[in-house]
Amino acid sequence: MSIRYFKRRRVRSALLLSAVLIIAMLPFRWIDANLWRTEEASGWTLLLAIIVLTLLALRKRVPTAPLGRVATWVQVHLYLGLGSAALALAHVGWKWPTGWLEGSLYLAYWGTFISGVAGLYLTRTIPKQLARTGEQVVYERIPRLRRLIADESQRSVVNAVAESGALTLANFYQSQLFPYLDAPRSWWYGLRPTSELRRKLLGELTSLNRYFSAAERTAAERLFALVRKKDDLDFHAAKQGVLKGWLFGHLCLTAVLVLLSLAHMVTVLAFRGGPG
Amino acid sequence: MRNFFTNAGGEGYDRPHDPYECGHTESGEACRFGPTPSGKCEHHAECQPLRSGVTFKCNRPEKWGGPCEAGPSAEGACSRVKHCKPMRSLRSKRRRLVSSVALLLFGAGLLLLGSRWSREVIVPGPLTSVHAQILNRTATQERCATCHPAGNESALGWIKTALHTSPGPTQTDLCVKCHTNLTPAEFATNPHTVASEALPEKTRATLAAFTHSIGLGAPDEVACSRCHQEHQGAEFDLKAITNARCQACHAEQFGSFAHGHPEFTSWPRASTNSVAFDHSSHADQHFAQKQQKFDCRSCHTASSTGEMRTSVGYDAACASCHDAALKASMTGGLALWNAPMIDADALRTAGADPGRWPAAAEGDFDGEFPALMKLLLAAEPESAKAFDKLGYDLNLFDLDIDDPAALRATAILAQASTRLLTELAGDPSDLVRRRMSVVLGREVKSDEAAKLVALLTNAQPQAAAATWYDGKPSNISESATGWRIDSAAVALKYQPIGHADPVLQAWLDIVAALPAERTSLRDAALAELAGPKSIGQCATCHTQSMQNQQFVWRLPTPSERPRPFTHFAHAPHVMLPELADCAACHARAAVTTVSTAQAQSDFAPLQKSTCVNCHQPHAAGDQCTQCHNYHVGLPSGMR
Repeated sequence: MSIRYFKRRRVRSALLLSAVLIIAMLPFRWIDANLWRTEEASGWTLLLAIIVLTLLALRKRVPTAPLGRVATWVQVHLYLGLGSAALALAHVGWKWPTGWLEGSLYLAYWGTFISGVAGLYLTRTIPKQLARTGEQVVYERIPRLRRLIADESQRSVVNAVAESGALTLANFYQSQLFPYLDAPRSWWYGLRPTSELRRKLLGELTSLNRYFSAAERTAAERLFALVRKKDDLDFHAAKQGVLKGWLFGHLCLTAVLVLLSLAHMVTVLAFRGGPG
Repeated sequence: MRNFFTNAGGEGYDRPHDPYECGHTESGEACRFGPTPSGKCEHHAECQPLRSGVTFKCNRPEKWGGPCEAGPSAEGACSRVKHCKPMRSLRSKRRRLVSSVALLLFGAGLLLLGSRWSREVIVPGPLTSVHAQILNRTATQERCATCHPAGNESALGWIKTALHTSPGPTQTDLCVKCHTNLTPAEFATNPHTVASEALPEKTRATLAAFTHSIGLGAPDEVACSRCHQEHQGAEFDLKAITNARCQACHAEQFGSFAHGHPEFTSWPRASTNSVAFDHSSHADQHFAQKQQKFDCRSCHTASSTGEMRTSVGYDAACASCHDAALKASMTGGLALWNAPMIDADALRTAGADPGRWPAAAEGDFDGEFPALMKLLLAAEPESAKAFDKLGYDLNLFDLDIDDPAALRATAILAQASTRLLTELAGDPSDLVRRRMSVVLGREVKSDEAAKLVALLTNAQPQAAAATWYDGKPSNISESATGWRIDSAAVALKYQPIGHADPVLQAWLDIVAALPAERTSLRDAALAELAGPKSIGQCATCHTQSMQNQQFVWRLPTPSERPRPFTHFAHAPHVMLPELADCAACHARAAVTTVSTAQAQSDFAPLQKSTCVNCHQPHAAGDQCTQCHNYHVGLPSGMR
């Protein structure tokens, strides 16, 4: 689908969200004027919104169920999530609740909301960054692919040694390249991926080129390609790891939010001022 | 070059939704079998060696590399056994983490609810300072239960209460339990906390339709929490309410004070519990004749809070002009017992024996029974019947001497009068207590009776009876107690001390409290004691309350006044230079006389436009509650 389509969809959804919010807020004035509590109305609406938002996780667990496209569910999740902030403000007002339960609940809500907004940013930027690497890989397959690269590099170097008897490339490989190709990167790289190490290793490999035999040069060319592959793989692991890690946090916050919301609902109903 | 990973990843089929995956996948040698969704993973040999004579041979399939070099063991066991290594999938790890967090939170919640901080955990916010300073004295566990029926329940009980309406007391019941002085319990949930009959019919109809529309059972079920929201902080205004909410039940609604609010027709309204004072005649006639300035502030002084006092009292405001006339009206005294002139011979001739009668009171029929004597005589049934025949406004001068029944009734009253004086000579206070209990239809207390007879002892009645009936001379004429024997009038009288005489007040209160079945007695007594020329002229200024017909002896203090629907604070208004002059708002109306029978203001109603000048949303505000109270009818001191 074209970028134009996505832009149009974004404008359309934003307008729809605004219209829904305005329509949802209008009854609050009527509710207030009729001696009902707007907090009750906004509270129930917000709880309903949270439940609908949570249903996305369940929908994804049953991909074959005839419940509409997951992409549609994600769109609903995004805009309903954004709109829930207006409901939360209508429910609580421009203040921070002072009670333990209510304060924790509000913290959980905004934690979930902010993590959701962060996720929105990550899911809109990381795929573009990953697409620039050319080849796409499944996150769960990355360890396997890393092993393949390590094995391939090892075979190339062993063949070169066997063919030429020179150990220049082998020594460099053992001391510098193998630890890089065989292992995943540090957690720090996961937070801020850079190609600095790749450039350093390739630079050193290039500088050794004049000492290599013909067989070693052939193997070195193969190693050049494998280092680039490993770097792409590390980039994928880091970026997809951020997405996976974000989801861990978002789901944990959602679980906390749902539990605290239910506790809040029970206490409010039990301690309300009565039916009248 | 960039297609290195295409189709790479090893054999097998990725199942990221499964809870377990093979732990060897990373090494590039994925498990061929398993793990199962439950995490079980069998050890699998690459072949099942076939017996070949006494030995075994490998039968590994060709696609897995054909027969291996090592071959089976002598016992026939495959030498290449794959040890499966189950490993949780990423999705499973995420699910476990989320479940762990949820369980941790749930457990922490249960721990807190079981601890002594259980109530602190669920408190949504601090109470207002007025409630906090009361509740902080109670134990933490009991604090919630003071206002919330579910306060003493367990967490499980809260869930039950949340799902089902508890049959026990409601939160409103608990509010009213403490605020007994604020609201009568029977009207606690009524709109404006008054009987529904007190509301206009149109409003009642609207209210019924409204309460039905929002799901309330009856129009008198407006819970306190509808308007009062607690736990909003120490400084929160519990009484704050929007104009829209104020108008929820009202039949006639309007946008703002400036637009749509009805014009004032009777504000300021004259108090029904007030002293009658004709501002116009005083200003235009009495003060003018004496060439004195009629200054509003000489009576309506400002209190320490800046509010206007209703009056400065009789001594400061009225005595200089009215005291002489008031005392002159008291010179005749208040007769407790007085013998009218009776023609005893005529009665006896007609067969109606009056019994013994003072010689000084024998002659042509003339005179009246005084009001106090009528009240005491009315306690005897036969005397009451006699009065019914003759009328309580009887003047014996008008007695029809040709009517035997009237003569018999007169004789009965004469006998009863003698009996009354005889009994007064015993214990006057007890006699009055007993007889007034009968007349009022309620038990009169001793201290109440003591006020009616003041310091009267039996000495005066005994001396009076001895003098009038037996002709014995008596040297008791007037005592320091205020009681005296008027031999010329054949009367036992009380001499009032002046304004605010307690005995006079006590008897007027008794008269005002007479039950409906004694209306004629009350009217006759009021005609004598509360008429324009009566002793003390009390009722000239002291009106009878519209609510209970009791005389208003003193102006109620602000804390004693019934809480009105509309209130006005003078303090912030009179600070303005243009409003410093009372006449800026209070223009005298063209009323010539002020009635004490019904509240009537001698001031023209204020114009709404006067208030609208300032009371706009952007200026002095136009909130309903700036001028109107929701809870009405009770004295503010009992709020």
